[in-house]
Amino acid sequence: MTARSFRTLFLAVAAVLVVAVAGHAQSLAEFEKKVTTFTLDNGMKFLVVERHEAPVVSFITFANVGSSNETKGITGVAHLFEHMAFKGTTTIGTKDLAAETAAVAKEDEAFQKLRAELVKGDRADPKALEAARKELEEAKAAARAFVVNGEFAEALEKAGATGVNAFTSYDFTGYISSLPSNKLELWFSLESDRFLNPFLRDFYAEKDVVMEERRMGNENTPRGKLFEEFGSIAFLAHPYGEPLIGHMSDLQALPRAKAEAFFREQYAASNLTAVIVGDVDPKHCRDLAQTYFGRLPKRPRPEPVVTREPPQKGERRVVLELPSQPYLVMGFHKPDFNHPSKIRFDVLADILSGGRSSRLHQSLVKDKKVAIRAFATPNYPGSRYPNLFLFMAIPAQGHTPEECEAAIDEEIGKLRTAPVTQEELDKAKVRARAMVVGGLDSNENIAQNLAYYEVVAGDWREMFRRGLETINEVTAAEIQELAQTWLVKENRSVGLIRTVQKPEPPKAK
Amino acid sequence: MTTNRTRLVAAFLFLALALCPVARAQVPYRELKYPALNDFQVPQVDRTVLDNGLTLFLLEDRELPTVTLSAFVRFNVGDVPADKVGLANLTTQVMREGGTTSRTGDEIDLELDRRAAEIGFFAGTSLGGFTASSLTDQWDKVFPILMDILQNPAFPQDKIDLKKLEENSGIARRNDEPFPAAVREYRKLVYGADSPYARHTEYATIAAVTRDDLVAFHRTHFRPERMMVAVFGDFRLDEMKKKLVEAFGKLPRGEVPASKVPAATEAAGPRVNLIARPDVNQSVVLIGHLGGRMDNPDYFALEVLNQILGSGFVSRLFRRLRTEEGLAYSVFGFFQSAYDHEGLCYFGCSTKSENTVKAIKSLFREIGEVRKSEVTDEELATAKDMFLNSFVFNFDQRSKIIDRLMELEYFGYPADFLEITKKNIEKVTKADVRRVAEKYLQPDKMKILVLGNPQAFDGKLEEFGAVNPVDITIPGAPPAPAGGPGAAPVPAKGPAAPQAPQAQPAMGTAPGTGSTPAPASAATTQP
Repeated sequence: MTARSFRTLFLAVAAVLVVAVAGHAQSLAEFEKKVTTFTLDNGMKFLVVERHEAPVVSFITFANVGSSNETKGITGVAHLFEHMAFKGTTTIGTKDLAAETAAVAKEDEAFQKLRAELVKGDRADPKALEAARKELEEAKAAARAFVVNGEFAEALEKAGATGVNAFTSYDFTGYISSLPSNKLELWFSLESDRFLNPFLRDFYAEKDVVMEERRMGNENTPRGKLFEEFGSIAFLAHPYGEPLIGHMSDLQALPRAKAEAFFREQYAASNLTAVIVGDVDPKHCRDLAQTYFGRLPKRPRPEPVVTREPPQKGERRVVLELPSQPYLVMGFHKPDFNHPSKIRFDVLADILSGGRSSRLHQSLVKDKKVAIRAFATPNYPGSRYPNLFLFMAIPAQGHTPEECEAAIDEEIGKLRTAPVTQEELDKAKVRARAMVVGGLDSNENIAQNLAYYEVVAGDWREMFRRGLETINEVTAAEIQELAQTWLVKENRSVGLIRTVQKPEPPKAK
Repeated sequence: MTTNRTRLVAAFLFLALALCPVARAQVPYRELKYPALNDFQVPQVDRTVLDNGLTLFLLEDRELPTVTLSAFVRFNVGDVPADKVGLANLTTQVMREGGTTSRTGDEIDLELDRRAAEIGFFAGTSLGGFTASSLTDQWDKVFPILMDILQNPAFPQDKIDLKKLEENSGIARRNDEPFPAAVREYRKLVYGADSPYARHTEYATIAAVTRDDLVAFHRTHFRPERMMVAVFGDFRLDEMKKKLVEAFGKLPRGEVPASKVPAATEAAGPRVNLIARPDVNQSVVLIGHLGGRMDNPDYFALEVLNQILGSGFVSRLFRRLRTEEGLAYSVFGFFQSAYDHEGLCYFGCSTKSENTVKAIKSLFREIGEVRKSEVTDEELATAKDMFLNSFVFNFDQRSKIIDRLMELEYFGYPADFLEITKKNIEKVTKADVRRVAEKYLQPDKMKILVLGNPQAFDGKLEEFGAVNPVDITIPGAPPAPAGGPGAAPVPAKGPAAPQAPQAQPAMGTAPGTGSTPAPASAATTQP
């Protein structure tokens, strides 16, 4: 059941009242009283939110690095490193560091031999490949003898941690957990060691795990196939067009050293923000932060992605003929999350698909009955850099993606020729405010939302300012101008799945 | 010179250390000492039974200015005839979207969106229900809409057709993604294709449902003696109670007694089963048999076994099949217990075609080992610590407290079942874990289902037994789209966004959530 999601929506509603009763500024002012921020000498930033409802605390460490910081040849490394961050450190997860270090070096050597053969592609010698694989397997087994498997996560979970996990996006990487609040120091001890002394053990086995993840998400579902192809046509230059999880050949060829180098360059303390929400004392947190995270060396902040997506010169389209049901995705280039137009795109997305009375749902699902779902979302696949305003539709049984495309085009046409109504604007504003308060319903959500705005928008207060204040300035004329400027054919890419009944030919091994 | 300078530096260092406010040192995590957990009061839920039989739970929660209602309605999968599967879901969805005798569905949609409020209806395996939520100051506008839908649903034919189109679209799509398709077929292998716990919609069952069926289903089941309603949020308890008692008190009792929960039994059938899919490069492997019930005295030891064997980072399956063997991103294994019928026992993973046979053997190896030898002291202690130390998270949100209470009462479990579970888990021994593993995990009786491309397997499935091909062709031509559509299982809230693949969690989807085999009821069966 979707208990969690409807609860979020319930609370989302709260925003309206906060606004009605307290006024926008005051609600931010109220929340601000609970927030303490500080920055260590090495540049690592902390936000502490006091919430004493229950003796628990949630944590998130937000690394300002994602798959868009990758280059060709190492795609997937940001996400792979996130997996490696659960493998322990030089002090956690080893039986004998010196012996393990030597064994891991042998693993690397064996992999280099395999890699030398792998990069020959079709011309690789099967016998040499087989021999190199065997050698690597032996080296892996030898190194594993020194591993305390899973010690890092076990240390947290034994102490009562819940929600221990991590995620990687195009823009950032987040590490999350919650603990009973008397175990506060445990998090500081473990999390600081994680970024001070990482040890990338079981690296080559974990690459296999990630390749399985890639097969599961990208290669064996129609939607996964479609989005990978769609990304590749929508972006000519910017890494937003690469698959987040990486190309299979890059994953296969990636040595441990490249992942370590990526960590050294990107995980500078100045590139990390931690948010702590719950039954804690901010002064105590500050002392602990200094003690534990103060150990991280001061290093310069890595530079952002320099590649800019050039203006699109004509519509691009990819059609996948698959034995599965149809699907449609359509994306228009637009500015980034911190551009002044950002909030207007949010309003536009809500008018198009926020709730059952929205334009796309009304037209495609209820009236024309060509789709069972129709949706618009304003920042695909990431926020920090110029991205896409995305339309998606799941065609109803017996209907085609082309019918959905025509219906969406009709709605875009209406947006370009006539202003949206005051009622629609009001609805979007109420719902936006609701989103703000909905994001404050639990320690975990508060931590994630504040971290996101702090890192991507540069200030956690932007969550309140945009959702409660800036949004009120949006006018119907601005929305119309947005549609006229950005929602134009030559600025878009379209991806669709067309159903064919013959199965795909079996893939070569 | 050198000596002097060294001394000077040392003096400075001393001074700096002495003045530095940070007197603390880093402590390796193994040596940390923790203070006692801060005391906190678990709030008391107010419970009332109305004259018409409806049970009401109330809890104030003043943190946010919202009111949240969730309700259970007593019905189960056995209440839907085999030739009309989909009836319960169609009824609840058309109630929500079809409007009432005095307002259209579209008017209700607009009214709720305008207030950023939500109303939802749902039908599950062991229960149905509804939800409503709004701002405190909108509640008096939103609640009457809910009551109107409950009492006067219009069931207009055009909305019935729309929801049927959505259902049929879901049927057409049901083989597109390997994992959900495999789970659906696995349920049929274990429970039997005709079991109410395994059967699913077909074009024919959707077509067979009539408006009269929806009207009758609503009339029979949406009755106060079958309802439990829990409300929490920003209100004064006595005032809210008065309003709820007045509104729900008007509902007339039903005439039909609730039906008995159907039995779940293990079906006879072939051991090794293959869904051949030449278009995939990764196999879905599922292994197991019937699971159990939570009222079994062995439930507690089984939960410890589940924790040690197949749940999360700290489990044998994760450590061995994933971390060491690199076989799968998603690997899991549970003997699942449900409240009111036997759940499923399932072990499985998704692994590349070339590792299919190896993965099956690794799963059986782990099942065999936990039956053969006792788990270690450390494994047992860790499993208990995980449960006991995270116990506070059962109470950290008021919604959890009130929802759990309602759920336990619905299924006839004691209100302190969580505390009972805690006491019993503390008592579980290594011998208990081994005993229940031996008794309840029966590898020889386990069915094996593989969805994959047999041309690319690393061996023959025949080594596990004769292979039964499973045909998942969707029976019957889809009806002409003229009339319209019905919905894939829709959450009780607004239209869900199709998710673009984006962030990648380290853990993958936990079994029991989302697309993996869901707990047999709306409730989670994990401690």
